[in-house]
Amino acid sequence: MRNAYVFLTEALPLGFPAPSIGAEPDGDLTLEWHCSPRRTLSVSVSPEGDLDYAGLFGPNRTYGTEVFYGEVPETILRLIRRVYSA
Amino acid sequence: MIDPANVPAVGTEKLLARYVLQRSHIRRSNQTVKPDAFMPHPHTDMSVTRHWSATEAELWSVGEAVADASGKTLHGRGDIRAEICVGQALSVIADPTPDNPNHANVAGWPTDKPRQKAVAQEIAATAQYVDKP
Repeated sequence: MRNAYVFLTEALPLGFPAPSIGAEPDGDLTLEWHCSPRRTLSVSVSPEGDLDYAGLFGPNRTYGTEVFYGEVPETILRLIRRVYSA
Repeated sequence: MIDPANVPAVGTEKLLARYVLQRSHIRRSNQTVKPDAFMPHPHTDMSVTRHWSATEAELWSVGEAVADASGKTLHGRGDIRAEICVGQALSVIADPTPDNPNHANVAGWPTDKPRQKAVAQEIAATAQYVDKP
């Protein structure tokens, strides 16, 4: 929970849209940026600081894991921008 | 509901119901279901209920029982097609139980979480949300 709190309140740069917050069956909090069914990004924040992410961008999909050290990884920021790009 | 003595295999054209037990799994802005509702973890399979031969009342009755068993609240269900799961390299296997002859498992999920999330997103992208009456 603390990692998700820091992610949302301190790490996410100004100007980035706030995500919708949910939870997965394993208890990890999920952050979702969503424009449409195929323009969407979901990031799970684990207590250990793992950011498991998956995104759909039209016909393309991407997924992976980044580690949260107090700053949002550039990979995640780039994907958030991609959700809202034309 | 399906005759427990004669449970057919799941065909790819069939509709499956995934019960939504967390309010945060629904996007209220447009009544769609988030991929969070389609994650199998911590289990290896994802439980669903086949629509085949089931009335709406029966589907909701099963949903209420699922919610009661987990101590949660039934909010609605996400209806998906078996062929979508098969298209994601998953298997949909009939798994009748004494209380739910229409129960099935969506099996064959990837073992790592990011890939599970990607598959769940593909499924959620096609899901039709139905609010509990």
